[in-house]
Amino acid sequence: MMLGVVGTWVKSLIIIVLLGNLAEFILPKGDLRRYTGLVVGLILLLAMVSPLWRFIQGAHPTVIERELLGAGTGQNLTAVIKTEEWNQATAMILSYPGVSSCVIRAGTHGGVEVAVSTAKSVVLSQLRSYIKGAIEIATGNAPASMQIRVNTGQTVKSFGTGNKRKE
Amino acid sequence: MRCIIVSLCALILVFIGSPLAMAHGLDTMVKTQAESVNTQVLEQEVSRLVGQYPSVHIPSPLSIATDLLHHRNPFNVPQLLSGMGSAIAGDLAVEGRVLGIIFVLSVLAAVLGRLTDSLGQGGIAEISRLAVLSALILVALHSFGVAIVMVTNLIGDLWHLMEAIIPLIVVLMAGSGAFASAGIFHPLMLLTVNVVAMLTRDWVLPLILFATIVELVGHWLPKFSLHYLGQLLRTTGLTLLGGLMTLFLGVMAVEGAAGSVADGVALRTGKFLANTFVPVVGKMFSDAMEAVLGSSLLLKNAVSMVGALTIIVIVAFPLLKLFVMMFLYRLGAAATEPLNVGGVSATLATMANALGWLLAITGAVALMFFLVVTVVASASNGVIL
Repeated sequence: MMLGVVGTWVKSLIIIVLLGNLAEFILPKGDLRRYTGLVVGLILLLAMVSPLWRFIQGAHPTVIERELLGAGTGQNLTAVIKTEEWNQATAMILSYPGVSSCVIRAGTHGGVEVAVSTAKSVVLSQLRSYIKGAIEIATGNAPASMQIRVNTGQTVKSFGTGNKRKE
Repeated sequence: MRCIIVSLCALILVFIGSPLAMAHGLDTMVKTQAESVNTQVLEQEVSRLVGQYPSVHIPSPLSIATDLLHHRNPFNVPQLLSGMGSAIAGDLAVEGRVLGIIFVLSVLAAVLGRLTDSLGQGGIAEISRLAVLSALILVALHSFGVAIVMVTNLIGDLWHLMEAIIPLIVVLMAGSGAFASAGIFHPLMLLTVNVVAMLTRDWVLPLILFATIVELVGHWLPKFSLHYLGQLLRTTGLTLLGGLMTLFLGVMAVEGAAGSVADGVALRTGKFLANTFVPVVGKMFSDAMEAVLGSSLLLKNAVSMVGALTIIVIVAFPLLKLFVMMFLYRLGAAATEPLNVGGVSATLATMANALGWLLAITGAVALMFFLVVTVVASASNGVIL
């Protein structure tokens, strides 16, 4: 709990101040007293700054990731990011004239499967390269393999790159 | 999903209510509607909360609705004011005693200081100052502790009240035709209330408490003062609260506008459809629908009025107490300054400031909850017109 940390911090600072003042009262006048003041001030500075320092040091990206996503970390985050990227790609493909629906799924061997249905006739080669471009833009790199299924209403056409599978 | 449930509830209300709308007067209709909604939980909660102030009585939603219908004043304001007057008197008596102790202590310290000055020993004067200041800080911290516990309990009470009243308002909102508003506001209101109450109780108040303690220690033992640390803690807490409030107001404004526009469109479409496509009784049906929605609107406003009144009553008394305490500490700071005992008046001024911050926090939280109840409920009023 964050506030517990703050509470302990403030408490320790107050205790240091109290002890420092006690020392001021008890010690006789002279050089020793002057140095005690300096030392107590330094200790106070250290006690004040050290939690901040620890906090800054501990703020690694992995730690934050774990805080946000819970145990199981890396896998989770990549899945989330991948879904987001595919959603973006879907939106891009849907903006192509004539495309009525589009589903992107994970294919075999880290590839993707794209199922597109069109309402009117489109130039298939253009659509194919558009889809490929959209996925490349959204995910940042070309996928290892890509299956594209285009459903034009009358015919179903499949295209594949990488490990080819013709229907 | 929630939207669907809520609109189903509304439809049921409409269908139960519409035959009666034909047969009886407005009074009966309001009564029937009030009976179709269970306000028992709310009334229990309200009477539990207001029970601490026996001089004040909050009427039930039904009686408020009937009173409003007959152009009567539903709430007894002079009663509330006289209750607040006697509360001020009681607070002054209690806190005045604390102030009296503080005065006696500081006069003693001043006399001791002058005596030791004339005897020529500086150390003893210092020790006597310290002893008096310790006692003073103990007294002050005790009363500050009382104040902070009071504010924490108050925020908890407000929280419970809101959780009792929000479902009711949402159902009645949907019953008066504001489906979209109901759908938008329900999660929003719950989120706001929980976040505000939780952050204030668990973060802002403790930070203010830390800040006050640190500053008091600084006055007590001026060597190694942590004055600016106190300021840092307090600024953090208040910035948190301020940011929360800004966010809340912005979100409320935007969602309110969006919700009421969507509702207006949906309801007008419904009326048009009923008028045009239901053959003979279409017009009658849409008129009946409007009447039922209108009476549900009255009831909803009555419920939100109960909420607002309860918030006012349970916040007014603690705020008055805090205000009286703050005033007395300021008075103490002003009065002990001429005695010239180091630190006493500064301590009292710090206490007064801390109580002022508590006052501001309580006021801000109460205002936000008040806005939730009143503005949100009235944001969906424009639908029927």
